[in-house]
Amino acid sequence: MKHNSAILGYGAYVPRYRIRTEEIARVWQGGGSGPNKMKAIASQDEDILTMSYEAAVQALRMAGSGPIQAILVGSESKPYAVKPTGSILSDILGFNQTLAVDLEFACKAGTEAMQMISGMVSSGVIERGLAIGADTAQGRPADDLEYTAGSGAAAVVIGRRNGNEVARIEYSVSYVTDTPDFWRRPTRPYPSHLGRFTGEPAYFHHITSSVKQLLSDTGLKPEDFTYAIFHQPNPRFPVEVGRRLGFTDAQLRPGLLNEIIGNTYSANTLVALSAVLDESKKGDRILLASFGSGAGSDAFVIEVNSKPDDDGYIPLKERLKNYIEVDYSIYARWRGKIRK
Amino acid sequence: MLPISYWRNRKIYTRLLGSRCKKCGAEFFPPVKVCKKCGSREMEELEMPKTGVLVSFTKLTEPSYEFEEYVPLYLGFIRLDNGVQLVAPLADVVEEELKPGARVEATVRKWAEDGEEGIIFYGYKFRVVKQP
Ligand SMILES: [Zn+2]
Repeated sequence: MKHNSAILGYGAYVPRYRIRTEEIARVWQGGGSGPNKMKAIASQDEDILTMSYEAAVQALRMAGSGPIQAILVGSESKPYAVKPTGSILSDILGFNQTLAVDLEFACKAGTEAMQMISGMVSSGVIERGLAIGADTAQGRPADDLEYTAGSGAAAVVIGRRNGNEVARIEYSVSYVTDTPDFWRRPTRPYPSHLGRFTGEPAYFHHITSSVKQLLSDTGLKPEDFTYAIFHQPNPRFPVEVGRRLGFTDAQLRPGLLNEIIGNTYSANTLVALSAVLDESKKGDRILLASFGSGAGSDAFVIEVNSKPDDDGYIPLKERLKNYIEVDYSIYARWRGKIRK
Repeated sequence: MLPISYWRNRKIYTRLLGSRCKKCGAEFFPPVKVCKKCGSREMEELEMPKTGVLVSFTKLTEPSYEFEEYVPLYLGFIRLDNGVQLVAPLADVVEEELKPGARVEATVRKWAEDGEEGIIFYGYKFRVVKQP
């Protein structure tokens, strides 16, 4: 799908709190650690509405004033099962003449939002829209996923190209199948998954399929990209899928964050996009491929245009240094793991 | 807190909507219908700046039951950049960072939940962004 839209502003929000995976392993395994060092966890008074707000405020400030005619919030941890996060957020941000709705597709709901907003802009239906991916991901206590399931949000203001845009969305493809790698039934608090099955038939199959299609459609080769961002459920998978597709560690490294924040689910690749856009320069080309269980992958070609005009902006990696560690008991209290 | 009164006041809680006197220019938060300075009834809506300084704070360990979940609760006495002062809950607190004169900014957080089946009340909380 050819796009004719631009990223006018972006923002990523990662909560201030971290838990070390050694601390999680101390409780459940008597030692060791997870595949990553730490994961970000939302404070007790945070949820995907508040985190989306934080990311959106950054993105909107960078984009400058203008209408927002669509707000799509991608998440699998909505505060309400019925009552859109999008409309609460629209109201708080002061945009009421807008389409507002929530999307869900495991870890790729954020890139779905980006793809749909970009489509509405490209077709001329709207001038500017806000795409968000946000999650307070939960792993069942003692489950493998508990080490990586983190919290975060990312927002992108997408609008018509005007010459001063941060980046241009050039092309996207989506690839989906029915794959039972990971799911959650409506009233259950924690997801279920098929362990090792989440690798080859799920993550690797879908990302390689979408990326190969993208490269074939556009005639681009791995070496035509300055950066490559692949969904990061753990530190190892994105590096492995990148190698299989012919990308180098240098293309991948700037966007790799799982080691220190874990998997932020719907926010995952868009948080990485923030980190990459923070250091990219005009003419750089970015490949971004998300993965959502169930399963599917969205792949994009994004071309960097100009540095954002936002004096107050602090790069994401700078902000990530200002964290506070909490232990398992505080984490259990905050994330609702203690029954009262 | 009742869902209907929360809904009515939500712009005050989430956007710091206050008021300004059209006659003398005095600004107020929360909004007032009659100017406390000159007595004029000609008031207009005005959003407060989202930044200011922390004057002092207090730590509550036994707040009313709806805030029990969030104990300890920190309340800051804040002077906004337009001079308006308010008492507001603080977010992401590290007690050593709560120094008088610290720069603060408003964000939106959960204030309380009306049980597991009720409405979630969102509202302003301030956090420290720069030490004095
Ligand atoms: Zn007056």
